[in-house]
Amino acid sequence: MVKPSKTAGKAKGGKNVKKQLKVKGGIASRYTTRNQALNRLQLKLADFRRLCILKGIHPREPKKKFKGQHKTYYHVKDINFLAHEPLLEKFRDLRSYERKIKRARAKKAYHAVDRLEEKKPKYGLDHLVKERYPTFLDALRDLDDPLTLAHLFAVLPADKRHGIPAEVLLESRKLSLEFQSYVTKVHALRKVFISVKGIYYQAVIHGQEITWLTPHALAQTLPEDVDYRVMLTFLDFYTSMLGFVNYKLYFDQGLRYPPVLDTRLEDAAGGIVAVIHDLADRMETDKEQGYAGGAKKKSAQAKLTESRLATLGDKLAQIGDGEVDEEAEAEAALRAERSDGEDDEEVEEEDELERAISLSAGGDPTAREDAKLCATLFKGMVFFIQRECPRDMMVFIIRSFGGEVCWEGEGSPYDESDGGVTHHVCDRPMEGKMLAQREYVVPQWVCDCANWRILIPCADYKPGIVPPPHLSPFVSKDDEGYTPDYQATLEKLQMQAKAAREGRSLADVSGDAGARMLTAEEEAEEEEREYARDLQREAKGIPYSRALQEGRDHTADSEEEEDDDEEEGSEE
Amino acid sequence: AHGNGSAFARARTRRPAERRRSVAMENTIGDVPIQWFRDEEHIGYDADGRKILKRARVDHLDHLLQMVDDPTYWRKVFDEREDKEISISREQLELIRKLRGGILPNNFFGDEYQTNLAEPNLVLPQAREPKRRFVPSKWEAKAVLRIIRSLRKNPDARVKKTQNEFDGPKLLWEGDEDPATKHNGLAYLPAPRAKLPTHGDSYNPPFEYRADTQVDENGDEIKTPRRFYDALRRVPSYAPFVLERFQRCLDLYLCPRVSKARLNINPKDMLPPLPSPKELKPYPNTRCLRYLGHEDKVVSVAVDATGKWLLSGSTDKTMRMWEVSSARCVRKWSFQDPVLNVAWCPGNGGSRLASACVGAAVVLLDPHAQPSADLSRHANAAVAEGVAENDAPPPWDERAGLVFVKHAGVVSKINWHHKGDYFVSLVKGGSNVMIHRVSKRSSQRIFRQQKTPIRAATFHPNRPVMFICTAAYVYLYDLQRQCLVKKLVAGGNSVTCLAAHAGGDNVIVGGSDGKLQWFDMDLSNMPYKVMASHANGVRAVAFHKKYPLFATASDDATVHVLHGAVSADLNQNALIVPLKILRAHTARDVEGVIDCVFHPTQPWLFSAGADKTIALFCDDN
Repeated sequence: MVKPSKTAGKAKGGKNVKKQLKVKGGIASRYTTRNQALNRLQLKLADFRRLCILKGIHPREPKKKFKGQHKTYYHVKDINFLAHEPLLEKFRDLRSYERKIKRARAKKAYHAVDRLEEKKPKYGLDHLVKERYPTFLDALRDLDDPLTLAHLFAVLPADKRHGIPAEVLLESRKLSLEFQSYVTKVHALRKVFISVKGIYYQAVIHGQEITWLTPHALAQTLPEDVDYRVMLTFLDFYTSMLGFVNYKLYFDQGLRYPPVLDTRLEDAAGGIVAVIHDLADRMETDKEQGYAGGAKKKSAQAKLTESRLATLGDKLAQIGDGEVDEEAEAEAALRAERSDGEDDEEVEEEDELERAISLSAGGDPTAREDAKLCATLFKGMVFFIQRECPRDMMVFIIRSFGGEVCWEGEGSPYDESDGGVTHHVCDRPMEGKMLAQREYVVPQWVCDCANWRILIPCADYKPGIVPPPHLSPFVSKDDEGYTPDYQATLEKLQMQAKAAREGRSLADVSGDAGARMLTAEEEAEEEEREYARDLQREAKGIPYSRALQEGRDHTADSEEEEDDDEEEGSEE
Repeated sequence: AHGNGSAFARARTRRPAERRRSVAMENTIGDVPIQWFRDEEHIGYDADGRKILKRARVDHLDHLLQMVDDPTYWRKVFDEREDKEISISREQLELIRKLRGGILPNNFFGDEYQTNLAEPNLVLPQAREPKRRFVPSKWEAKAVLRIIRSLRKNPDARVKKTQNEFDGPKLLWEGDEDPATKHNGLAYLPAPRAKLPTHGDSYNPPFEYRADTQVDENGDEIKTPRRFYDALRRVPSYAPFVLERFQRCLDLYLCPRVSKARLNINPKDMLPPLPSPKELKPYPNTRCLRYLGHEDKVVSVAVDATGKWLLSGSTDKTMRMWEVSSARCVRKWSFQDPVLNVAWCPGNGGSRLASACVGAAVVLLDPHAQPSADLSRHANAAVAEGVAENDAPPPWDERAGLVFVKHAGVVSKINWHHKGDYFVSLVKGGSNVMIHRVSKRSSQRIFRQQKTPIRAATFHPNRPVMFICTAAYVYLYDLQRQCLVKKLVAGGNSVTCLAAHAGGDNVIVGGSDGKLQWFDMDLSNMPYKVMASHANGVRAVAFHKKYPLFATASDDATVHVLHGAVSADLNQNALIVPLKILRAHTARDVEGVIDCVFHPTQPWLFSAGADKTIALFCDDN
């Protein structure tokens, strides 16, 4: 808003004056305070804040705070950067448009209000995502906060008083489920930690460690002293960023995006399962063709209706035939699945696993081994999840680590009493109700196994007893400088498992550990043998002192001499 | 329940008939007092206007008889208005009971409601249709007109949907971006990542993590118990979750970000590369000989310039001379007082004259001279006459080949000048320092008044300068010009001993706090290096005359041997490398090793211990 007359006057007044006033390259010329920036951009504080959040502009710390200690300083270049943002103009348009609606409402022209609301311009943030994250890796690197916020909003209630609309929540739920399904699909999950705050997950995608926190599956309270507008603005950017990231991830895997939710499972609160279901059938058609604009949309739409029709049919069949038929059908399908071209399936599975490993680990051999271990940890195991355990979490972890899951209720692939279930995850005491042919474990067992990449003996994790401490997988030994006892136990188990994998005996790993592995029973056995040998000698009439000497030589190769002794005995 | 149901059913079926009858008999007099008809023959009129006649009244006697005979009498009520007796049914009784009890008589209402539905008796209002229903709407016409106008103005206004530039996610990163693609703005500073959880944040932490330890501003540790649960199902919702996410959001857009280049240096890499002790051989590292014979702690040892003879003084009041190579005690002098210090005079080949501090006298003697028969008598006499006046110079006295230099107090230490003519003596307690000249047999006090006690005094190895050492400072006095040259500041206020390097520019002092300080006078008057390696106080320090070695003897019964190379190049600082800790003595009464001295030509070290022994350490190849 420069007044032309004034500048003309100044130009006329003298160039020298202006030149003198111009500050040369000092701190004051490089930084501005926030209020100066507001004046420069002609923005209200709320709009400025929104723009800063979306653009990722943050205050900076000048060496010398020339306007006082308690001011917020921005870099001049940042502010100029904001001034050239097309979104700025968009916000101004939006504001004037809001005014139109307000005016129409004041005139009680409700038709006009409806019409205007319908035509209200929306803005996209794709250019900002691209600008802030020029490469895909940059975006992956900054994914921690977006995922955490999206997972939080996925479980928050819609609230009119705090201005949290339901659509936003649905969107974040959708995005978080999509991301989780992807992680499950490529077996990228590495660490899980149940803390008091919530559940921490860490996945490795393209070599980037992505850590996010999800709240416990319980009702969340909305505190009053929180400015939800700020959080929603962040969420606005994060949802669009996550959308693009998910799209890219799915695209690279040759999967359809957005995935079609299985409505039946979704109705049954299937959560992640509803999405995973869709990922099972990969897109066969050529990628380019499949993703070409409208065609893609159309096909997706067609698929959607198709799947809905299919589930409708299922439902009708259910109503008609009752439960017996359904069971029979499921069994038949299972049988078919198991028998039908097992070799092909295996090959395909191997192929898929290989792709997943190379995706997350790249060429690093140790990382590749770890990835393979993660993908096949629970292979061939079927978990039944009892209803008091958080199902979404358990499904996510178990499926990511290669296991199969079933639960109580609709959409479960197996029944609770199915003979194929190997592990029963429950959190309540189960006295008298336990079946002999399956292991009963608490949810922590699944997490600990996943973190340590071993199948820990289930005896300590039985429901009803206090489980061993749940250790954080995010603590490295050097940081803490202290190792809890249970960690040492787990490390030993890990070493044993590694030795077993590589087909070595334990003694090769470390002689010390091997020596310690002699159990009390074995020791007793050894003692017994010694005693028997002494008795034999005594019978032969060899004095004890000589026997002792012999015994000393004996230790060199005990087996042979023992045989000799026996022979001697028989000769006599 | 069944009986009730049947009764209810009966009531439902019977009620319409009763109603019809009662309607036919109904008295229509309305709400007027019944007394008005008391004297009439009728009690009112029916719906058609006919009189309803009264029945014959029953007299009181009949009434009484009825009361007695009829068992259902109590249920009967006379209705004056209808002029008849009504028998109350069981259902009605039940109803009355309920009403009186304040209970909802639901059967009753249910029936009434249903009967009402069964007989709809509604009449619709007969209003006429208004005119406006048939006339075209003026407002609709206006709206249509408005739409027509707007369409004329902007023909595709209705056709065009929302100007929605955002239509779903798309492929934003093609995968072939240049990784060096730059941001448009300033360099991107990524926000610091949130702290990852530790064992203590677990819902079921290890026992030792069940208290949160935080350090407050005073440096005290505050322990607060953490929440923990024995099962996942008991973990409640984390109430401040939303608040914490909000605070994270605030941090992301409100906190100034500064990129700090953090140096990631291993502290061990910052240590200078020291040569390994093996490269610095020879140095004394093993004990070769022990000189046994003293009956109390040995407080002083001295080797002559040839390196063959060793003198030792002890608190058992003897001075002994040993042959170094064989550890044989060659001679022994007995005195009446402890021998606190022994020294060889460096002049005349360095083995002709020796000195010993016995009580309040310094005894000068030739150790190789034939022993005199009355030595002990002379010695005793020397000590007996030892006390002289305070200010008078100490008298020199010669008897039986021994020279006695008497002092005002017990002499604790003497140091010889390198030429062998002068020596400096220190009276115990540090109250006075005297310089003596042997050739002229004269003595002189250095300070007229000395307040702070002097701990050590020695001559500069090649200049006419004297080191005087108090607990906190080392003073350098120029003896020719008689002025203070330099003052070295030793920290700790606990200096006990001092030794000067042969070059004269480096001094080491040991303190009772176990610290050794190396002063390089070319550098500063502050210590160049301070080493706190001894557990107890340092009793003696010594430089080797030829090898770059020095040693410290301490009350912790160890002798530390260090390499101390002084370079002629002024740009290079002295190189100090710890070499060896020698342990050959045992501590007694808080005293360990009391004195140590290097062999003049070999890299050997003699140490005198409180355990009555002298040890010789040699280099072991």
